[in-house]
Amino acid sequence: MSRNGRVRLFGAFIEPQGIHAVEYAREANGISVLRHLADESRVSGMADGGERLATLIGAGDGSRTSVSAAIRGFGSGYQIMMLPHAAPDILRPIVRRELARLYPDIDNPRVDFVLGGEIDRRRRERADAGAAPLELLAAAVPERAVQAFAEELAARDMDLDHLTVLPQVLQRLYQRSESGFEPTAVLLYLPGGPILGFFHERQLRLTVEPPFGIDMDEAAEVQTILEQVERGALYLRQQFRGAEVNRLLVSARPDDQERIVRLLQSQLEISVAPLAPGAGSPATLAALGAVLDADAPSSLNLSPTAVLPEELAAQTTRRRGLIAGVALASLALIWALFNVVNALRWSSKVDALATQARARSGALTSMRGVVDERQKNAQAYTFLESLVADRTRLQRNLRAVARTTPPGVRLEELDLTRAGEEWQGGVGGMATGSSGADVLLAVDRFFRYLPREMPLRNLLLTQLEDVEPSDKQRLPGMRFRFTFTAIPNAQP
Amino acid sequence: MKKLLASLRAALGANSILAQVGGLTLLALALALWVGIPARRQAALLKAEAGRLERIVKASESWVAGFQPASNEETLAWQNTGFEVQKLGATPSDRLTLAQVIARRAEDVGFRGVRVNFAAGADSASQSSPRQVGGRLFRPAQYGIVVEAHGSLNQASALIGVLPNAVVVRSVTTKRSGNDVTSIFSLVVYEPAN
Repeated sequence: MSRNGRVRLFGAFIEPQGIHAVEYAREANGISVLRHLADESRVSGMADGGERLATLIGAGDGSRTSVSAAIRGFGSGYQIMMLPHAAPDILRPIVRRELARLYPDIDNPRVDFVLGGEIDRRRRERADAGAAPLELLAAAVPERAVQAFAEELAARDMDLDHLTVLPQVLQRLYQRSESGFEPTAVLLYLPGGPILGFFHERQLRLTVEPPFGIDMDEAAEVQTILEQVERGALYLRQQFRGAEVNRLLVSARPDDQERIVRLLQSQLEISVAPLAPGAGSPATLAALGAVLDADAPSSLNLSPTAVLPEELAAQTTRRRGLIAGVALASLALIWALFNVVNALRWSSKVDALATQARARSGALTSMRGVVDERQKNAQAYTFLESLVADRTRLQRNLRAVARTTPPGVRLEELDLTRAGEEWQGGVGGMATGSSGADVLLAVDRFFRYLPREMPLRNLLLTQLEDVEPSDKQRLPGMRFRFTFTAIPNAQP
Repeated sequence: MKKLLASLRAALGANSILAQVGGLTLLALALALWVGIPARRQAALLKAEAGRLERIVKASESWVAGFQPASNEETLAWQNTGFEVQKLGATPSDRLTLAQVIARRAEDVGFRGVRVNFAAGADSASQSSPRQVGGRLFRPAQYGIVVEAHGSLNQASALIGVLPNAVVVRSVTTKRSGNDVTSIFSLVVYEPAN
């Protein structure tokens, strides 16, 4: 973070033959270059490049320094490849594997890629013929090298915000300079050797870095370039249904630019024009191309400070996992805590209620004696009442027999024997009358009246026999006997 | 199996942070379950116990609120009932007194020629159930009392109403012989068991 809130912005191009940088400022319609910086002595490696770039840029006044750089060499590699149409997350491991296969010498490669668009070279007549394959530019750099590069910058409080490769720079420069769709070749005549890019439908389709020997003169170099242009044109023609390269945009050192353009124009049948005239040397253009790529929404960034999509996805997964884990663990612990607190709360409540109950129990003890006495008394009273009732029933039975004895009947015997709450009874007597019918009437009345006065069951006439009339009265008589069971209360 | 273990080890290595988070989460879950489940069970038990105690306290409160202390009249009534309960049994030493009281009451109701005898009561004792009244126990005695007297059924009924509470009528038999009616009462005698 800057101490004064300002940011110094630099674009840089680093290759083994030297370092070129620009300080620039953002403006409403683009960027303006503030100064050019160059260190054209040989760079031994990325760490060396970082240290010397930092020296070249120089210490700031407390402002943050942001660096966007393009590299060439130092073990980096790139490839334009075609893959089936798929999401970047799916393509990423495939790209990584392909680059590892193509550049086995890159130790622990740091990989990124940009999608170029669909390539459809076939005539598709069927609607379900499937999606066209994707063309993409992928690049890889040794992780340790870019780390060292970034650390050297960081040691001087400089941030390597963007690091890309030369083909991506070509893509940005071409997009910035041209809006046409015609197949075009772009030549950057860099100090470390030229690079040729071939564009079709505004997409980079082929890059060529012609091998220049140290002892080659300019004529040989131009001849080599011409050959490569021809080969590139042939490639486009073959790959894109006869697409013909009809332009060559050239960026060379400002002193040589016009001469080289004329020289190439004289040898080629296509139009040759300068690329971004007045923008500076090819190395400066490369540095600006790195800036353009850094500002683009979809860029190829190999900076170790950049978060690669796969890392971002991994970070997101980790973050989500962490959040989910913490949330789950928190919920579980809160649940456990709630249960513990709940148990403690109920425990204290039980203690309080037990204390309250014990206090009540002390007060109740004194009352319990009264209650026990009342219960005992009530029971005794009930028993005494039942005793009286028992005797009353027996009295009632005796009185009932006496009351229901009709005229003409004389009781001879009565016996009542307790059987639980009932009484087994027997009544015997003599009935007399003026006639036999009267005698029977008397017995019958007795038999019928007795149940009205006394609750009983099983009333049976067990004996009824004539008695010889006495000599004096000569009245007919009958001896009878009933048996019955006197019950406590009348049955319904 | 080795391949599976190797791939598992590789996956764990690649996602070590997630593996650690997962491990810690599982640990926290296990800890929470280890603490939470017994606590939940304990809370449920304590809640039930609290409910029981609350009901007891409420019942005792309402009981205390509705309780009326014993008045003097009630205490006197208890005493009287106590005396009556005491009379539900006659000690063996009181058997003659009991017989005398019964004979006197029979004469008082109008019976003539009253005769009171003691009879072996093993039979009646086995047939009659003990009395458990007011915390006291009375058992049928090993003897009974037989009262024989001359009088009407109304007199017999009257005698039954005035018999001491220590006896229970087991049977009543009346027999006429000419104009004379003889009543025989077989009585079970109760005596205190303690």
